[in-house]
Amino acid sequence: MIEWLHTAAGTAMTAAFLLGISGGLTGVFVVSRRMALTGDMLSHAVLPGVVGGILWGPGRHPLVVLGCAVVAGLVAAGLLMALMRSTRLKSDAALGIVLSVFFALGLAMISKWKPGGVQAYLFGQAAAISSGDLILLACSSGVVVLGVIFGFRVLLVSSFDPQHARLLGIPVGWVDRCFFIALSVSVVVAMQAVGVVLVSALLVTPAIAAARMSRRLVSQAWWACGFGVAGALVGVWLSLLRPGLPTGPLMALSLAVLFVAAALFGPRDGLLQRGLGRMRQRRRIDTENLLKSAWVLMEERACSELAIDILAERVGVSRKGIRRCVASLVRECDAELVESGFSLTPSGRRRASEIVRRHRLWELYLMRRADYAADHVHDDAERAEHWISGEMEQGLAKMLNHPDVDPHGSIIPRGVEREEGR
Amino acid sequence: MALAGDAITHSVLPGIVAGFLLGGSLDSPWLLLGAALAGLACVLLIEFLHHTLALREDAATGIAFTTFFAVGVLGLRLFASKIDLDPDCVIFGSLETVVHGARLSFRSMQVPAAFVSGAGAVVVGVLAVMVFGRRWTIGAFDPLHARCLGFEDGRARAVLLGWTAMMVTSAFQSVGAILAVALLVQPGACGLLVARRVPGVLIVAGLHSVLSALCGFYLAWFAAINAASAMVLAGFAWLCIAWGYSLLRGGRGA
Repeated sequence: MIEWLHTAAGTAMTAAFLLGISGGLTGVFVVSRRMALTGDMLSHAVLPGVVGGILWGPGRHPLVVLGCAVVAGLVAAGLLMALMRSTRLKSDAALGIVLSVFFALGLAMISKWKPGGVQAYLFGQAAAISSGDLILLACSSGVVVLGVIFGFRVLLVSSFDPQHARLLGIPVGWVDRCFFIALSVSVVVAMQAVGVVLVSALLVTPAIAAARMSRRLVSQAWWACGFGVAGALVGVWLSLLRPGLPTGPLMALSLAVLFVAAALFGPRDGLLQRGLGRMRQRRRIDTENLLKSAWVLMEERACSELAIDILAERVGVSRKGIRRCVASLVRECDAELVESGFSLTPSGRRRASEIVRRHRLWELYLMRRADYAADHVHDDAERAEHWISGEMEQGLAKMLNHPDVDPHGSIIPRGVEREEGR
Repeated sequence: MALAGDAITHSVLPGIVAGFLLGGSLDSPWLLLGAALAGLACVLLIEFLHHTLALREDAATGIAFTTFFAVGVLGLRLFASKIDLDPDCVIFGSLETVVHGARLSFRSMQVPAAFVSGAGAVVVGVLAVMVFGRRWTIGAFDPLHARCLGFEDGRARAVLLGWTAMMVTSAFQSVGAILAVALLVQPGACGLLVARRVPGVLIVAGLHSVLSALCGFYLAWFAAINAASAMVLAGFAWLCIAWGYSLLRGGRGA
């Protein structure tokens, strides 16, 4: 185990694991505080600190670099606050200014003194992570995890409702400051592995993917950790497949793939689920419309069997389409095939009469209570009949004194089932 | 839109790489086309994430541009043998080489390609502001009013985005992807701090960018640092002066 840790692959994998956890956990709060772009700003703004820390001593001591970087991040945050308070610049413009100025300062320092080892921070090299870096990374991840576990309530309340938190006696200002410092630390340690630009991916993407999985912040935090670790590990594994492949972009891309999967299949408003629901609803409406047309036709002709051709002519759909719909009705035991065409079973008749009843009740309601003209009510009722619930139907009937005839002179069918049940 | 600008500056990278693979040189039109398309795709992705998936705008931006940038860097590394586009160039920019070339060719009255694309972007930009200026102004401050006046929001917006992508591509070689956002935001912010009316803002912004470019070159030469970053730092110095002016004048710069 220990030997494996000292191999390049072992170090990179361990680093990825730790980064995934701390990035995911911090990211959940970054996203819920709407600080995604502040995180991006921070990753650029710490550069002068990083360069300064590298220049400071002879060796690149991780702790010195980290300290200087956090100081630079805090100065940047101060400048951002000052810009936003004293001018009418919008937050995005202020962020853009602070980001570019600090980054430019860092680049100027690099071009002036040409320190070694900055490359890792700019582009990210998981392979270049030393054992000292790894220890630092483990410590900072540990602090983040402990902080989130013990301060979860406090963080939660002050992230979502600072006013309420203040009423509870939580020092919101200090919570924010601590969070910012923790964020700076996470950003600096993550920069080594993924580079300046892609730190955002490590923070934002797992958290957003987690938000598709659950509504509750606790389980979002778990999911974000899982996504972060999975994405980071897959990224490192891919980059180890061939020499020369960059770690950071591969991590960002595997995280993006995870996000796409979560957006498609996630239980919370997933695209697939949404599409399926829409399809199911369209099928229900089609079936209901067909049942209704069949029922009305049978009513007009006073017969109980109907030829497919006649129904197709009335609805304006091809015979093939009608046949398919009828087949599905037969499967649901709402219709049965007879020699001349098909007939409705008792359950089919009940379903159809319910829809016709709702349609005609709604027409009557619009005329009597909403002053609609008689020739304007049909289209509205065509839509309303599909979403009027049983309870609403009863209310309508009661309000209209249990009418028998609709505005066009057709009989409103009785609600069979409920009459019997009463 | 400052951050849409930032997102575009990062997201043109895959387009530039693809354009390079197609065109084979740094000054082929494919580069510009690829960059503009990539920028547009990124903006569309952000809109999709924001509207269809109901993500917040900052989160959508964060996810979209990192993905595009990752694809770009990956492409750079994968086809490194075919592209002599230095990854460093992405971050540092190489204004010195451009300037060096310019000085050499100035005597023989030959203007290097980077100058041509830069000048082209400036001309197109000025033209676009003259044609669309009113629409952008109204669209930026009051989209609803713009729609009432019958302006097609979409087309003016598309031109603005396309122009931004073009400008970013031409700025890319000289200042690098990340500092390009400074060139977009700083002059505008400075103009907003000093002037009250849109023409004034535009004039101050133009003045600011010229002044910061000149001072930046001097600073770079004086302190022997990277020219692009010197330019941004000089721009910030001018911005601070504008900031002080707006504070002295009182109020929140309004």
